[in-house]
Amino acid sequence: MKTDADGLVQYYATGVTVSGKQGEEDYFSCVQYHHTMGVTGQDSLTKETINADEAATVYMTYGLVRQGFQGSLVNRTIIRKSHLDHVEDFVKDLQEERHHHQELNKKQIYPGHDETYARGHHWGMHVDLNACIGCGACTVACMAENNVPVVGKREMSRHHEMAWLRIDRYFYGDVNNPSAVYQPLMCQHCNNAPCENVCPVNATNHSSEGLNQMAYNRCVGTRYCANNCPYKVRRFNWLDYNAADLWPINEPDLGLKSGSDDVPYGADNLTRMVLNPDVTVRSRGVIEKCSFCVQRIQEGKLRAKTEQRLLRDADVKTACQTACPTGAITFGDMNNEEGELTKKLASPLNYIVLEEVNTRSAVNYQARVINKAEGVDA
Amino acid sequence: MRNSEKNIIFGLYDDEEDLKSAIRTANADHLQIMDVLTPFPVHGLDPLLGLAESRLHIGGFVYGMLGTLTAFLGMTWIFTRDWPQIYGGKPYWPILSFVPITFELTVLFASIGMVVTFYVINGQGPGIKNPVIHPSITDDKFCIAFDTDGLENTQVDKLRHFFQNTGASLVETKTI
Amino acid sequence: MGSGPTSPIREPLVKGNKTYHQITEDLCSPTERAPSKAWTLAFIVALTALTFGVICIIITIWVGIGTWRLNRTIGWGWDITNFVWWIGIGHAGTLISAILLLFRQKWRTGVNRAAEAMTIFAVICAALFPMIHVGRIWVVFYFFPYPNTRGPLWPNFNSPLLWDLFAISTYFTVSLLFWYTGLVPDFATVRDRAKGFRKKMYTFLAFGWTGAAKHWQRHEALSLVLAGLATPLVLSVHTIVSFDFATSVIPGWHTTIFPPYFVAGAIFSGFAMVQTLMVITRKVLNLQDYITLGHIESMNKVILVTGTIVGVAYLTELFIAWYSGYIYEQFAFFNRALGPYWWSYFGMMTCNVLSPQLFWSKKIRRNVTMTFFMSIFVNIGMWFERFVIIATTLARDYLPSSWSFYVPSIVEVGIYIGTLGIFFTFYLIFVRVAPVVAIAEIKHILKSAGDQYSKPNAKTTFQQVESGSMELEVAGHDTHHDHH
Repeated sequence: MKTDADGLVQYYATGVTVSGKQGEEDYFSCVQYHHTMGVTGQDSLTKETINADEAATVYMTYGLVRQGFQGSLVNRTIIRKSHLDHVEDFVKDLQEERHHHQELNKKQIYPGHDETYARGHHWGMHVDLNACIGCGACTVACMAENNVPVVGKREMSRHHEMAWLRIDRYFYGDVNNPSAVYQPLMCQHCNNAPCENVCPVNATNHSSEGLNQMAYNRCVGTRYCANNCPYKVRRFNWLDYNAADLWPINEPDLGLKSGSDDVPYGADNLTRMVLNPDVTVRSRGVIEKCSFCVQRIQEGKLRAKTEQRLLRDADVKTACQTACPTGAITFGDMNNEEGELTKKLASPLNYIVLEEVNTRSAVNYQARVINKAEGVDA
Repeated sequence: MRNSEKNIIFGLYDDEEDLKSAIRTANADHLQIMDVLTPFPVHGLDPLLGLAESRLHIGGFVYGMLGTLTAFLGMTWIFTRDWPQIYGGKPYWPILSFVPITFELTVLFASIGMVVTFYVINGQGPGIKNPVIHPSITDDKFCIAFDTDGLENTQVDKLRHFFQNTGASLVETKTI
Repeated sequence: MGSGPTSPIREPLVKGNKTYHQITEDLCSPTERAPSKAWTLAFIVALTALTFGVICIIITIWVGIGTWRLNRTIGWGWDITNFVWWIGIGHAGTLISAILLLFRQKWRTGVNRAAEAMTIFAVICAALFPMIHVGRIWVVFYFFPYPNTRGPLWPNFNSPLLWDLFAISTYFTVSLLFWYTGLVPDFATVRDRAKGFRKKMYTFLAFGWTGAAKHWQRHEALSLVLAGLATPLVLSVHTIVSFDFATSVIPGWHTTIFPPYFVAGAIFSGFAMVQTLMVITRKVLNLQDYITLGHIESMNKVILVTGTIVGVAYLTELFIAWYSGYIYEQFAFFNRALGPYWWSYFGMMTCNVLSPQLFWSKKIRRNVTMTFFMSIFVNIGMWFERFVIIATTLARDYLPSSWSFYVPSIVEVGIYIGTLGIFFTFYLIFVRVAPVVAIAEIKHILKSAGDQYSKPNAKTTFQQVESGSMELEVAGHDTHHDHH
């Protein structure tokens, strides 16, 4: 670090040059390389303005149909956004649609456990898509807090990323100058969690506080839960990413050798010091996922208990929430009527991703409202 | 399960119809047939030999019910008493989820129970050696056997006569 | 099993004017002569495939599921595809031995033994996949509900995968018991012809069977009740396998049509595999008199019917997806047919729906070469069907951000080849050890379905045999009168 005469750190560098790497090609891993949410562009053949997904397709020999058709994307109940000019109509439509879904969802054969969740705490989250700038600080904070393995470029390119919290980005608008919506997506802690039903060995179940819990040492690794998750937030330890195995031969070469010695990443003592002692390190072959920072929840509850008072919002903050520079993520007790979360949950712009699937998720998203004039870059 | 040694006289027939008519003759003569052995199940023998209908299927029903109760009560106890847990918003007693396993265990218990019963009452099982009266019985011959223990020679001769009159292709005495 | 009168227009099921002794000779001799060159070669090939599979399984267990190319979106690929494929193949054996027994279809006797053996070997191959596809095979015993010191902690009885465990283990056990109970009298036949070591071996295997009338009576009672149990069982097994998908929330999986559609598909692929094996077996072991063109035609009819049911199911799925008005469901089917895996959907449609329609022609149904190639087609098509349902559907579901693509690694392909090796190794051992056609059952139907009795120009009809016996009976009574 450079310091100036007063001993202050200078966060800039001078005299930087481009090395011999110039002109060389290299591969990068990208896990969300396709699929937009309504980018429009000009079809190269017909010169008509069409959905870019269709424009991106190519003709193939299977009849005259385009391969890789990716239609039915625009109306998916994942991202909701509106221009400020039409926000009132948008809210009306949104409320109507949500009401429709909720009425249908009431027709389930089982009564559910709402009275259990009404007692004590019921943890929930609110994510404001207006505030999210897609910086990724939440993802990094989550990985640091929860000992999420860093798997490296090669594993990333095989879609083996382990991030518990990811930022989905969807483009819309003109294909040459698209705008983006960022959506932080973590385990939704559904009250009707599809993953819990399908685990054969009882490694995942629901707590009375509404948390979707994982028992890592019970997990056998069938990956059935990951398949059945509509949000695809469950992560499987494909290899021994934490170098926790008994046999060194099993430690995968992820191209991440640390230091001068030939120790796999995560196996040397210095790297191991970054591990959070409050969070279990997962072994190969088990599923893991966002726990709503359950270790912080327990710590907060204990603090309140030792101080003999009710739990306050400030006692429990998830890692992603503390890291978010714009305050887009709010975590808290949905039963706490005074809490910040309850206030945010009152917004008419809120929606639940894939509400019609009746997962009864505990994460609310606040729809994005755009306020820019026509033709102005985002 | 080898019983104590026994002297027998047996005759082999070439066709199941010869066998059946021989049994009818034996019944009319009040001869005590020890056993009839055939290479395949010959229908119509049971009434001739006075064999009551097998009660194996009753056993099967009892074993099956045992399986049903084991599965249903076991799962009920585990989910409502031993350790109630919440899975995907389902109630503690998700009775519909119990249907497949209850059915499977019913079938499993009934099948295993019946097969084990079958071999036990037949006196058969892995490695058990029962006396083979004649190797052709499992090939193409139909056999009637009489117990000759305690019979006088004249009575044995009468049996030998019976076999000859009913067209047996082979008549022998044997100790098994 | 019924040895009642048969209509003279029925085709004979046993040809070549057989006697009881000839049946014994014909069916026991394959276990008695030295293996042929063809058998030895096939065995070496099968064993090599098996070895390759075992190596791949060891790699998977040693290094991790990361040696496969599954990813965060596609959690099941070739593993569960192969599992469902194998378990489906197994269904034909139970169908032939149980359902056709209840329907008193006498032609089942020619093929039931081999088909049941195929069931057992196919279920072994199938059961391998759920076991090795887990991340931590060393704790796979967590599946079983046994008292323990962890709470005690029990499995989750809501999980279709747990239902699968119960269904498949029950299915395997019942099939094995049914098959072996049928084999015991035939092992006794082999035992009474054998000498030396083989005598000892078959004495052990024959369980002390003597052929006593009471034992036969119980044997028939047991077979009938086991058939009655196996019939709902075989329907339940693939129903429960389909629950793995049908009870989920993934578009394209969450479908009420799955149970009947899977069962029909299972019987379809199972009969195809029986055809593949039977066409070769009857030729190599010279069993054309027992596994006749009539048998092959009957099985081809079943293939035609079930193939058409499967075709209707495919079309119903498409219709319902459109009719639902639900974009995720619609997209799932659009993606199957026209997405990046269009070729597997195309293969499925061609092999499963179009190709069996050829069997409307009697000429093709009775053509052995065509039957063989069609059976291979159907097996390929049914493999594609499972691939379409599993991998293609998972690849693109609700969230476009998580869409992905999947091609298998050499390890996954190797395990599949390995299961083919296991299957054929077991089958080849089976044809050397056990009579491939049920001897006692063929003898049982001889007088009603043998060609000397049932052909229109037969020397004796069943009625003549019957009246002959009446005469004998009268003669018997005469003898009786003479004695007194």
